[in-house]
Parts: sequence; C-alpha cells; structure tokens
Amino acid sequence: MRKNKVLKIENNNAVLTSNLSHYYGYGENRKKVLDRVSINIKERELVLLKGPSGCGKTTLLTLIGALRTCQEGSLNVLARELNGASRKTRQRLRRHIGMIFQGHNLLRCLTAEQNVQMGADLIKGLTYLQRREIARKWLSEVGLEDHHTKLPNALSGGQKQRVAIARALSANPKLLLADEPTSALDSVTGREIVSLLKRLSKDQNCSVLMVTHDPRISDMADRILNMEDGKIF
Amino acid sequence: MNFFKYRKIPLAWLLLSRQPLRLLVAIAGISFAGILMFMQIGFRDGLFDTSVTIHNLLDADLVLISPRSKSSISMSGFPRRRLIQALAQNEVVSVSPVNMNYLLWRNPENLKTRSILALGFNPDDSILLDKEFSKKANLLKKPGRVLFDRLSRPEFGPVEEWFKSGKKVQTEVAGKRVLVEGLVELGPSFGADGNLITSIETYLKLFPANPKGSIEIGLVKLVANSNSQRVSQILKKSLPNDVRVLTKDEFIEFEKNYWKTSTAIGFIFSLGAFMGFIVGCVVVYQILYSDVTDHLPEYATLLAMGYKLKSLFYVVAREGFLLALFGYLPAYVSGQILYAVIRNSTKLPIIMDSNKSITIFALILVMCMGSAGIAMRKLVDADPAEIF
Repeated sequence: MRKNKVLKIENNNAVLTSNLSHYYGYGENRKKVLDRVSINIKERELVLLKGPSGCGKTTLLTLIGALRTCQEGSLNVLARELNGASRKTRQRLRRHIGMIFQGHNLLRCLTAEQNVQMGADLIKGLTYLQRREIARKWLSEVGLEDHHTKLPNALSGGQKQRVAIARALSANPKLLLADEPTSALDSVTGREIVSLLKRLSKDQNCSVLMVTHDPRISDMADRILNMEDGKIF
Repeated sequence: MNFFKYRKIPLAWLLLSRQPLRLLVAIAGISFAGILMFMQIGFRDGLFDTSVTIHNLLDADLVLISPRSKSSISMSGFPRRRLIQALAQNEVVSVSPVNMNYLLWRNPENLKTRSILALGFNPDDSILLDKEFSKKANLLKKPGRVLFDRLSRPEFGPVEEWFKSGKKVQTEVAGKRVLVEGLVELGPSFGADGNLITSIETYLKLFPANPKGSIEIGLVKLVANSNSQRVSQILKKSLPNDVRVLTKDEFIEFEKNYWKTSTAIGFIFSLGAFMGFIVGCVVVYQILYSDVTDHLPEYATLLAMGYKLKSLFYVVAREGFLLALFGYLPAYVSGQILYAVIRNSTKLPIIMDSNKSITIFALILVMCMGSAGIAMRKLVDADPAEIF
C-alpha cells in the first residue's frame, strides 16, 4: 500500500512568499497584478485575506494553490519552492492543498457523498469502504449526514458549499485555500463553518488562507491581511 | 478481489448516464454503425463463402482446370485426356471428369426460364463428399435424369415440394426435357441461384455445343496420406500447359480470389463497412466531445484538487470503452436477427461466426477509443486556475 508522501514543513511556515510579483498580458498590455508580495502563513494559522475586487486576491490564491506558474519572486508552499517548479511538481503539491471555490464546482453527476469521496480518493492506500467512511465522516462534520445520496441540484446553495468544504477536507490537506466560502451561507452557518475550519487548523495541523469580504467572521481569524492594488498592507 | 476492494467511483459511467437521452442517442448511433458493418462484412464473407459452396463439397485432392478459366462463372474447357495422363502417377488413385456450365431451367409451375449451374459427371464416380450422394448418383444412369439442388432459389419453382409430395417433376433444361430423380443439398451462390447435377451423357445432350473430349474440371484422388502439394508439383511438370493443376485448397482460393480481385463486389462491401465505421466515429466523437466540453469546469476542478491530466484521459477512455460495449450488444443482436432474415429469404449462408463478431467488436472498439482519443485533446483546455 502506497501512502501519500508527508511534506515536512521547515521554519513553521506553510506559505512563505518573498517579493512575489505576477503579470497578465504581453507587451504594452502587460499589467502587474501582484507587486512584490511578501507574506507568511504559519502552521495551524487561520489567515483572512481582504481587499477590494480586482486587487489580486484570487491571483495570489491561485499562485499559492499551485494552479499558476510563478513568474517573479519566491513562492514556497508546504516546503516546495514553486518558482521554476515543473507542472508535475505543482500537480503533486495540489494533493496536499484543499480548495474551496466560491462556485462550489461540485461534479453534477455525483451524489454529495461521491463528491466528497473524490477528495478522499486522492489518499493512496485506502480501500473503497475506508474512503467512503471518510466521506461520510466529513459530511457529518458539516451537518449533511442526511443528504449524502442527494445530487448537487437537489441541494441548496449553502448545502452545496458545505459539500465543497467537506470535499476539500476529506483529502487530509496541509493547507486550505478558500475563496469566499461563507458568501452563500447565513451568518450562523457561516460562523459554524469558519469555526470548523479553525478547529481543523489546530487539530489537523492545517493552515487556512481565506479570501473573504464577510465582516461577521473577522473576529475568528488569527491574522488578517489587507490587499490593495496588488500589494499587502 | 483487490480491484473490487480498491475500486474508485465509476466516474466515466456516471458522466455518461447523467444524460440518459444523450447516452441512448450515442448507443443508437454506434449500434447503427455496427449493424451497417455487420451487414456489409456479412454480405462480403457470404459472397466469398457461397462462391465456393460446390468447391468445398467436391471429393478430390487435386483439381485440374483450364488456365483460361477465371472462376466458376466463366469456366473454359481442357482436353479430357490430361486426366488419363495424370493417372500415370503412382500416387493417383482415381480421376473424375466434370462438365460445368450455365443452362436455362424452365420453372415447371410458371414456365419462366432462369439460368442454373449444371454439373455433368460419371454416375459411377464419387465426386461429392456427401455419402448419400453416391446412392442418388445411380439414378442418373438413365438418360434425361437430373438431381435438383433443394436449396436453389424459389424462382426455379416448387421442385422440392412437388418431389416430396410424390408428384412427377418434369421440365426443360436448355430446351430439352428432363426428369428430376432426386434432391441434393448444395446451396446457391452469388454466381448461381440454383444447381443441378446430371450424368455426362445427359449433360452433353442438354449442351451439345460442348466440344468433344473437353471438360471444365478434372478431379484427382490420391492415395491416403499423400502430399498433395508434392504430387501437384509433379503433375505441373509432367502435364502440358493447356491444363492447370491445383490442390483443393488452391482451387477454393482461386474462386475466392476471383470475387475479391476481379470484381468490384468485395471492394464495394468493404467500402460499405468502412462507411459504417466512419459514421460511427463521427457519432462517438460528437458525443464525447460535447461531454468533455460540458464537463470542462468539473474536469478543471479535479485538476485543481490534484488529479493528474492522465487520470482524466482514462475517464474519457473508459467512456469510449463503455460506449463501445453498450453499442456493440444491440448491434450484435440485430445482426443475428438480420442474418437470419437474409438466410431465409435469399438462402445465402450468412452466419454470425466468432471471426465476424470479434472483428466488428474490434472495429467498434477502435472507433470509440479513437474518437475518445481525439475528444481528449479538449481536456487540455481545462485550466484549473480559471475555476476560482
């Protein structure tokens, strides 16, 4: 049985960027969207990233999520330097990063349980039944134990978001990136979810970087980063 | 057991079955292409098989024919004495001359005429492998007697029905009166709709234009365990150039080869099968391409989660395999039914053998996997960064 390689994080930093810059377009149309961003996110830390629309939050999130190629500066995620990293290295690293998208992005043909199990399927060496058990456990954690056989179109927006959160957590990530995860949830559920994420960050040694505009959860963060015009203030 | 224990969610099947109507259209399209290929290959193989129905039944190790003969539908004669010369070889046990030509048969019921393949032979010789035939051959010793192929097309008249009911079946062949003395079972071919067998004596009366001492086929039997190839080589060297020596297998291949190469029939049916293949490719490609396009954000999500692009290729490949499997089964069942219908209405021996069923499955599989391979190119467009 093969196990997922455990990443050893040095200096307690799950994410460490130094002078990270990023551009879109070419020639005269080239636009700088990240300007020498230097941040760090410690292990088990829950960090909120705030800022106006178009300030570069999502770009930073996708770079840390190893979804884009790093162009300039240093980007170290889970002890892997991503500047100059190959596509394969980034793909392998993504297995240790949980992602929660604003638009849920659930697979429409799969039930809630199967969607969550797709995350657990990334853990090597587990049997089908073990992976299913993990999926059920996470669905219970997000309060959807009675909805595991439902298809996404039979779930409300909030329920879909919770399934997406369960899916991200089921792969046992070391870093969780979330883009407006509470935007579709009411204030009580939103706080419950963030509380869950906070508990996980402590219990499971998982760092969380969350992009949000939701002022109701600001008090739950360990740290808040503010971004404007591609710069961190 | 491990496969079951460590199985994954059947994503390919779930993606396909999410839209049942589209899946049904895909299966119908693939099945249609499969049926088209079954029919075309069935006709083509039927043509080749039926063209050698009589050849297979001939009881001989070697066959002598004229070098000018092209096939059973255009046989030329050669001197009968070549058979006598062949007898000089130690390993030759017996020889049998056979005349073969198309003559006009008059339907005894509606009196319409139709071309029938007539074989003339010596009733004392055993020319067919069928043991029952020797007994019937004795009936041909009287002049004007013929044996009628009961598998001939119905246009030749209700000969079998009349004969079995005890009615005297008398008609004309090439304008001369003949009496049906018995029934044989040979089967029609693409070249001949029906067959009749008679003695050389009757044959020459029916076809007086046949040059004297000229025969179309010479059957040669060898002693048991002889090497027919070796004896064939010896005869080729010893006999003049006005005769061609073939083993029985070569004689069968000679006939099949005529239909394969000298006529457009083999090409037409192969082209028909190819067209079916192309139609299937287009249908499967369209289905898989729209499937991949529809699910592109979902594939991008999987990439973002850490799935390899290769594993997404496998999903599309599995979809192609499932479509091949589901499309093949109805095509196979329909093929069986259509083959039976054709067999009953045309008497052509078109059968669903393992060779045909495996070939068509392989073609459908190539069709689906090839289309899946092309549809996979779209997967490269799935950009995980775009889903945020």
